[in-house]
Amino acid sequence: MMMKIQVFGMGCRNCHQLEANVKQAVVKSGITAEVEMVTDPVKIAEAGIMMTPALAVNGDVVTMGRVTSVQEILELLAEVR
Amino acid sequence: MLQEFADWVTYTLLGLAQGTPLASSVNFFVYDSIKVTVMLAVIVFLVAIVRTFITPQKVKKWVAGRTEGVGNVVAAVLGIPTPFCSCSAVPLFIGFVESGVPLGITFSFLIASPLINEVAAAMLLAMFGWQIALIYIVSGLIIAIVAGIIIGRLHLEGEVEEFVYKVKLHDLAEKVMTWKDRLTFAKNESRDITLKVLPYILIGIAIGAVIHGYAPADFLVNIAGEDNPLAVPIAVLIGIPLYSNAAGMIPILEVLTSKGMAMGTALAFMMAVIGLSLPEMIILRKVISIKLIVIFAGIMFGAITLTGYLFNAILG
Repeated sequence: MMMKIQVFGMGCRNCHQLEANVKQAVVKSGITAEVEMVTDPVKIAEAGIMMTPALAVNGDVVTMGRVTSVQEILELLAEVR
Repeated sequence: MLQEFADWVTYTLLGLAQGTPLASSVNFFVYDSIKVTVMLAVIVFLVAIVRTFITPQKVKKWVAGRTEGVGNVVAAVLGIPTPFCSCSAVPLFIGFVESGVPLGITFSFLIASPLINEVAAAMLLAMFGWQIALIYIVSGLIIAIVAGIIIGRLHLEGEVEEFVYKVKLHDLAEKVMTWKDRLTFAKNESRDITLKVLPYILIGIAIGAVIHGYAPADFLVNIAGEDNPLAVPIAVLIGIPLYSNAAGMIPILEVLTSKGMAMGTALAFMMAVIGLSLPEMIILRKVISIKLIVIFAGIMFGAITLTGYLFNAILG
């Protein structure tokens, strides 16, 4: 099953940084994953997120309110796999 | 010890003559940048540990169902260690309102969170001493509590976009952190935040150092001294749309106050810059009406201006 990674944020600099980190981590890990940016505030709130940027893997929110580093994302992806 | 090191760099290492403007500027730069950086790293570390215990999810539960007054105080206090990025304002707002937190209490949190910020507190502590840092925190709390109560009393629930009340939230289960997790988090936060704001601090201190060395001591007395009654509101008006890093501004303020700017005016300017920003107001438009944004900005303008006058009267 293809992994689904979502980056939640309304488009601030931190959100774009997180998106870039995620894409870099995906390339490094060699897995195929779908990366989606969620910018709709209603969808962000519905997911239970109150601090952006946030990161979800296969629907589970794993980090909130900070720019997760490439290294940390790699570890998170390894855990899920 | 730090002063001796700064003296050594200035007079021995660089061989500058004592008493010249250049020596004075260099000495100031070396001393201030080291002191501020160390203090910042330590305070951000401590606040980050506290932060691991206070997530927005918990704050929401702690303030939901509280009455006016108590709820505003709790929300404002919890806003202190909680970080805030203007783009988080919207999901935070929806999350609070949707779980039944009254509008006024939600605003107390939304105001306190950016207004009272640990980087600013750490820098005030390093550059102005604990009294000014304490005054900043306490007055920030009072502004957040009072402004929240006023917004609550105005019954502006109708000014919130309708969809906000209809959102159905998913309740997130929170991961339990061990002490090791907390310390790792705090160490990373301290390193990341300090490194991020360091360039601003150094630029701020460098600008400050130049003014310190070259401008005469009564340079600003007439424009921004206590005797100019318009100085406070003008400083606040200039500060509101500015969205700057508190880190870069406080070193400049330190020098401006030493050149005659009144302390209350300086504090009010700083609070206006970090407490309110144009991007935040624009982004809040997604959930509240322009009318409510204007009321919010107006109350903040009044509260910060009053605080500035008050401090000029007390500290003057």
